[in-house]
Amino acid sequence: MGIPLPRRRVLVAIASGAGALGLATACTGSSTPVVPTTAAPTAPDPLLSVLEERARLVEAYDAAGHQHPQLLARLQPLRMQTEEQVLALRLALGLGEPTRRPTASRATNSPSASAVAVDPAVTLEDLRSALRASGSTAAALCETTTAQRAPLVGSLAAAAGCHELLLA
Amino acid sequence: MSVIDALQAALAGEHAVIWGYGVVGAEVTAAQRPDVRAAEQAHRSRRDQTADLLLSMAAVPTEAEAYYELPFPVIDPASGLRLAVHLEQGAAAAWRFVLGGTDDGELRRTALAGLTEAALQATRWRLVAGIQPATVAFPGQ
Repeated sequence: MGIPLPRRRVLVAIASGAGALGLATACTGSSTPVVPTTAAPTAPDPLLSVLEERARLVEAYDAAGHQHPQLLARLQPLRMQTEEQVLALRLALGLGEPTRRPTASRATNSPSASAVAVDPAVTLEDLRSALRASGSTAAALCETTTAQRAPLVGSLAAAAGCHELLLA
Repeated sequence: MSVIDALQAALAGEHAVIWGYGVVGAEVTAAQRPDVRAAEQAHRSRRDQTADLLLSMAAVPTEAEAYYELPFPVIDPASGLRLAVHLEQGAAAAWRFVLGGTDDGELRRTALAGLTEAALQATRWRLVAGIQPATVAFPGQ
């Protein structure tokens, strides 16, 4: 799944700029020898993992609904709420709104059903499993993330549990 | 708002939920009453844990009010279940707020447990009441 990561690129650019500034200072008369250092690679924002899992869930709901139309009424509200979560995460990460696929394109590029189990009960179990994993990721991050993000991340952890309950 | 203030608000919310479940229990059907009792008991446990936590932080736990105003008339099983959803949503919001008031991982776990349990119970009540959708995208928000 290709989620564009412009913010990471911006952070890397800033880090590179800081490295260059340090080198310039060393060349303009500081008496203390300065060893030019390479900028440390910027660690990915941990919120990206939550975003990627929720985005994969949206795709999984699409694929499950495509393979098992009888599940659509049950899955559609969860899919819509998960899409809202993806949007909130993108905004929290400064990624902006995702580019929406045109309806026609969506219809012709239906999600591959190859990864979806033939048995609807197994499909639901797979979705529950993905929700548990995504809920665990959010719950773990909730303990360490910033105070500003903790309410959103905690809410996403709780939502995963609620969605799992509805697929039981 | 300090973390103690946020915990006091969550405790006040738990007091209100326990009071509210008394009203819910009076209106729901006999078959639904054991589930109401179980939900109320869960909030009693969380209330006691929260009061103990505040005491451990040298704070005096806030006490329950004598009476709470209902958000809408509760006159039958359907409105009783709507009140149950409302109560759990309120508890979820109070615990969600605690999350943003602390950097302490253990306290965040406590608050997340409060948020998650309330969100799950709200979902169960929506299912019983036939409210669709039975979940919200951002519990506690």
